Amino acid sequence: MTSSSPPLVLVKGTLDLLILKALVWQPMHGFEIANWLEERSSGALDVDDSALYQGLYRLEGKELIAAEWGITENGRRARYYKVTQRGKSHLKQETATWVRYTETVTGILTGAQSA
Amino acid sequence: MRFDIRPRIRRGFRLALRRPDLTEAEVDEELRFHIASRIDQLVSRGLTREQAAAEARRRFGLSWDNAMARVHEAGRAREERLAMTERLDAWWQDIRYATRTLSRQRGFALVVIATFALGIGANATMFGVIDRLLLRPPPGVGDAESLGIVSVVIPNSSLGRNSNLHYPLVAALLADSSVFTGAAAATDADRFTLGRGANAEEIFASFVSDSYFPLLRARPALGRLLDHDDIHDVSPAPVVLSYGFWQRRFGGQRSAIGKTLQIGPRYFTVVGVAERGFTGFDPRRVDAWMPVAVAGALRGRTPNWDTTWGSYWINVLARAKPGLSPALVDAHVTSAYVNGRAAWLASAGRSRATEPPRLSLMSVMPSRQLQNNAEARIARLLGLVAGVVLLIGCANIANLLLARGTERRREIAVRLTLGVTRRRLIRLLLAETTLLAAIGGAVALVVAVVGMKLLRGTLLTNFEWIGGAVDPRLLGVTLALVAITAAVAGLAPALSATRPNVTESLKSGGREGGVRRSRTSTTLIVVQAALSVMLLVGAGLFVTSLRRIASLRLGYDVDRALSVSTDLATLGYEPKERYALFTGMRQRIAALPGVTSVAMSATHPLHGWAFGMWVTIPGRDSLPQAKNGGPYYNLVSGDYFSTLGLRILEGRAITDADVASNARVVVFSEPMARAYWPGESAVGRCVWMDGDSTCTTVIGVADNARERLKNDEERFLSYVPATPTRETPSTVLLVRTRTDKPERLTADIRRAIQSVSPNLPFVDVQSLPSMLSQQVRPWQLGATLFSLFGGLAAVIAALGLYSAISYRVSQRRHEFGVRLALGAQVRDIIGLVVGHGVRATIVGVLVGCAAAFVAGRYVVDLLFDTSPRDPVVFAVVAVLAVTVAAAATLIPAWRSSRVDPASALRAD
Repeated sequence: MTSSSPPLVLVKGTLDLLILKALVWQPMHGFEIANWLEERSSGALDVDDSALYQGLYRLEGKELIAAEWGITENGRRARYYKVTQRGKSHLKQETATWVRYTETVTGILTGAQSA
Repeated sequence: MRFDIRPRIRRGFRLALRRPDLTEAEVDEELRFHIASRIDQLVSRGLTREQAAAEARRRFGLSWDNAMARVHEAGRAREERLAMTERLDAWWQDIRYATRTLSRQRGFALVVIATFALGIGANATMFGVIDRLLLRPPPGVGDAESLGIVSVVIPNSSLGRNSNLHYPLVAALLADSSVFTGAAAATDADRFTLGRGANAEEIFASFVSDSYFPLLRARPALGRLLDHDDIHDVSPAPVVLSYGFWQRRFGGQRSAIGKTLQIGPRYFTVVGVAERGFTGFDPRRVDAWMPVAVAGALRGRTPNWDTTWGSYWINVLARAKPGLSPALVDAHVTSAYVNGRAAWLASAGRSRATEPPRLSLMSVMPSRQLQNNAEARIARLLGLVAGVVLLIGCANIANLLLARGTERRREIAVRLTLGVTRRRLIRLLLAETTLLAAIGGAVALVVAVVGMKLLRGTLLTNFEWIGGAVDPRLLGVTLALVAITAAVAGLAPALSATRPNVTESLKSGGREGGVRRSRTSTTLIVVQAALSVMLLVGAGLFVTSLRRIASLRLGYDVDRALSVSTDLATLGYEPKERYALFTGMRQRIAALPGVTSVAMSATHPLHGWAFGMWVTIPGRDSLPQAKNGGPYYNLVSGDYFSTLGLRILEGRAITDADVASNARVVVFSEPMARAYWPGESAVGRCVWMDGDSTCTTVIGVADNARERLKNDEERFLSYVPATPTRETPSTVLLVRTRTDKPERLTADIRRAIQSVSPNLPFVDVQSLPSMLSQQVRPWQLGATLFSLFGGLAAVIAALGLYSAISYRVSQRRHEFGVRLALGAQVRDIIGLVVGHGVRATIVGVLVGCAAAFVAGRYVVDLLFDTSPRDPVVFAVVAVLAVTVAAAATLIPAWRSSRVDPASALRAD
């Protein structure tokens, strides 16, 4: 996970989407989510672990995810998060918006120079 | 991973949703786990423990403490948010659950909603009326608290205030500047004709002194109000319109200012519009205010209206300095009156030894008036009655819920064992009641709108109503009533239903009714019966009053008679010409088919005008006085007594021959004749009329003709021939017809009158019964609404009794089955069931009668010639109540007797 360019600073609001995306596949605890993000972005995203937990609680408050204490493979207590039904539809909707947004911006920024 | 009972399953069983909390300790635990995992991960990648720990902390956040604080803060925010949604969710759940439960029991829900709707609706309606008539200060009046109206204190107060006094009292009060800061005068709003011919309409207008609007601190909505410049009789005179009339007549256009209106015979210029809702010191409807200076011309007041202490025609209002005791203020009012009148009597060369009246400055605040208008006082009583109806309704609903609670004992016991807290269960049961009350409240608003519309249109027409029936105050009251009734009706049953005797309920077959609950239910039946009986007694008393009024001997016959009047006074006709015109009208009307006789007079008992005069008996210093003022006089043509149906008790009536010959004759009313010559005949006596010292001979004695519906009214009245030379303050024609619907002759009479002279003003034709009915209104209001509410209460109570007994019977099915199996007769079972209901009712009837007996004295002066302890009313109500109770129990009793013993015993 070495990278030549400096890590990207996260655009506001995207962390929530990434967390939801991470949990779509299976329930995970906080540390698993942190690792998932690092692996998926190949370390290009700079997310403080504390920011991750703040995001988790925020999402829980909005009832987009739910948490319960569970036991890890190593027999330790950890808080497991999963996406709620509301969280799933929220992710779908926001993803679509995000894609449209980035496509538009990318199109403008990289489009033909001539008018 | 370990999961608890799934929330969805919990929801399915109505168990408390256990939301996983997130305490500080848990946040710490989670973060500790995270850091530990991170260190393990880094160590496995080759870092030393110390390096790994440092790196883990670095990755957690720039400043460890700051990051920790933020995470904790996020944890707390989550907690708050979830708690909030959960509460809302729980309420929503309760409501949904309640809706589902109730939709399964439509009959029950409908009965309860209807009871709430009628009970709350009746209360909302009465509140709307009382609010306008009694609670609010007169709209548009500044500092109404300190404004008072001068009233004569009458011992044994009757309905309505007696505040018709003299105009110079205003100046007398103003002169007493140590006590009074301001004074003004205004007449009660009276009927006037606006315009001429086909477009003519009737309006209510009041004469006010120049100081009236300033004293009331009224503000104009448009233009200006009358002020100190408006003291002279100018033509056209200025007139101020009420907001409502401005809207009706001019569509609220500003161009109304400066328009000319013809009121009666006079022309007026609209100078302003009063504030919205302003009706002056009294809540009754007023369309226009005219300067008092015009009154002399418009209503035939004598030219010295502003100095005479002899005619009673205007209300005097004043403000006293703050902080003075009412007794002191009243003393000053009384002395201003007594001194002013004495001085005037002396200057007129008359003096009479009369007992000086006591006067009082009474607040114009309706809530503080001792002698409110009758409608307001009856409305207040009816408000109380509506409250009682609601109370009966609540008792009824409570009883139904109680029964239902017992039915649901098993269900509730199951929930309690499953771990639902009692608090939550009570909340659930209360949610049901609240839902029912809320729906009932919504329907109640409809009831109130319809009810107020009906009341405003039928029994309370002479008040100015602003805005719709529903205003924020009414909405607030309805909401409060919903909350209160839901709590009153729902709390006890909810507490009782959830009383934790769980195991017992589960064990027993759900049969034993529970002694305590049935005792509560019986108490409710007794209370309901008692309250219903009280209301029915009240209804009975008012209906009796109304019947007594109908049979009251007025002294004359109003049926088939008409009163015809038109304002000729200031059309420019001289008195003699006027006299000729009226005589012409009298002849034309008399010639109409269907008319028996026509008479001309200055006034008649229902005309609303009385004129004072002096009578002296040669050789006597003083004469007895009537309780209700006078002596008054009336100028009458021939046929007056026969047209009015007023009996001549002694001597003879005034004839047209007396009028033609200008005979010096007079007819006295019976009370006057009796007072002046007790035990002797008045006929043939010589009296001096109006300061004259020539004999006028008493030729007859006429029956006492009542002006007001009061039993003890004795009028001192003398009838004098209406000769052309006599100045008359007003003229009215009385018409006796052959038809029971005399109004049908209105058009014919108008035509006949117009044929006398083409350009006559609007002719006012009213039947005497309709004029009388104005006075009967308060009792009609009382009798109608009391009967309505009393009936409603009885129906609700009967329904309650029926359902309570039905429920008991269903609970005792098993027992009845056993009894029948053991050989009991059907008759015995019916007797058992009916006996219980009727016994409870009889107790209630006795309690109710006793309460009504005691409460009676509070309504005594609202009744008409009826004792509040009228034994017939009490007896009828008692028999009625017991009969209704027997009927209400008979159906469930009959059903109970049809229990098949075998199936009843098999049921368990």
